[in-house]
Amino acid sequence: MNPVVTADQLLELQRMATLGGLLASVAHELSAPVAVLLSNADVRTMLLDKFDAAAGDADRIRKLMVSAREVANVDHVACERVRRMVTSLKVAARAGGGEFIKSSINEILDASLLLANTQFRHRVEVRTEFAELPEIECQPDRLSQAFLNLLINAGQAIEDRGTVVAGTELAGDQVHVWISDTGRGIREEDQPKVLREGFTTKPVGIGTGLGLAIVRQIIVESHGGTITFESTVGKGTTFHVHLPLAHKKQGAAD
Amino acid sequence: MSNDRKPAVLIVDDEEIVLISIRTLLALDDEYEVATASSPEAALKLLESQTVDVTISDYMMPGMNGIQLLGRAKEIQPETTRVLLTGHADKGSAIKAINEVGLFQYLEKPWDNAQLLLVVRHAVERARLLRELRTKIGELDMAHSTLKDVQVRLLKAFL
Repeated sequence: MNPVVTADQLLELQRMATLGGLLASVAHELSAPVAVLLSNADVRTMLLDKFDAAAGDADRIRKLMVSAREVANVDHVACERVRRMVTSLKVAARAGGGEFIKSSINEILDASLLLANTQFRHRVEVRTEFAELPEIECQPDRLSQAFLNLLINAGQAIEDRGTVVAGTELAGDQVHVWISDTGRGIREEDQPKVLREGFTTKPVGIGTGLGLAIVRQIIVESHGGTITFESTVGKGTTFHVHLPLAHKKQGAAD
Repeated sequence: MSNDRKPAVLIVDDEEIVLISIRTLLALDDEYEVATASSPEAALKLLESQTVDVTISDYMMPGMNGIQLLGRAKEIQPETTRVLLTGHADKGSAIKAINEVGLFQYLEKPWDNAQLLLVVRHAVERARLLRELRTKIGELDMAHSTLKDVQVRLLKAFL
């Protein structure tokens, strides 16, 4: 009877849309390591044949050894990249249904960063400044959605080349997460509106005006945290997220 | 071009792991002189300073894409055979490239080693033929002007 989408369903829809939007760039990101692993599997067999044929020729064998080592090193790097991507996908795609679980904020942020960066790899340099943090009780699926939204925004704000920095620190009984970009910045007159639902300056098909409203919902309403930002046109924007170390059960505090 | 030098292949990709893998594959039989460049700028420098028979380039790279790079390669060394190697699932850009910069081949990531080796072999052959043709045309030009000279002198001697 009720055609209205619930807040939770809306969150889930937006999460799926974000992840879906990343599929092509994630696939592209995997294509190099996968191509290399496939090619090297073949090269290794060819190398073994060459070793056979080179029996007794010390010089040739030395050369082949160099090649074999290079192939092994490349495989290691390629496997590591595939592993990191798969881990990040697991973190972001984890179907939590909004359950509160003790989780590492750094891990969630790092996974979101790796995924978001597949979209901007060629023009955006990414830096992390992670402090050691205790695990906090949170909704990892929702937080990864919030971080992804902020990071994709940061990358989209950068028109040509720029830098995105993601950092964490312990601030009293809170975890402070910041995401800053060297992008175009938010105009002063738009600043009061950016956290509101439906506000966007992006072209149709890029922005829905939901991203930051959803971030606010996840951080403030679900986690009892705060979100603020500072921005200078032409210089960039920094979003600050503060999350309490101990989650107060909703409704329990009032 | 002297015929005893090894054919030179240049691989351009911003992914070090791709460069090393293809270089290793191409070097297996000691047939080629393989150079690598991890950026379009580095590739252009190389193209300006040494003879390259085949340039294999990635598509998505910072600063300049593979099609733009191969276009520049054609200006610097018209004889270099240009091959695009891309993980980009965009056939349109490849077709555009084939038409615009006269690509010889388009390979997709992940590539098939046997196919890659075959493409390189044919690409080298094409570059060799083009260089030979250029030499022959030069020789023809030379012979032609010598003939003209002779003709002028003959005419002078008889008239």
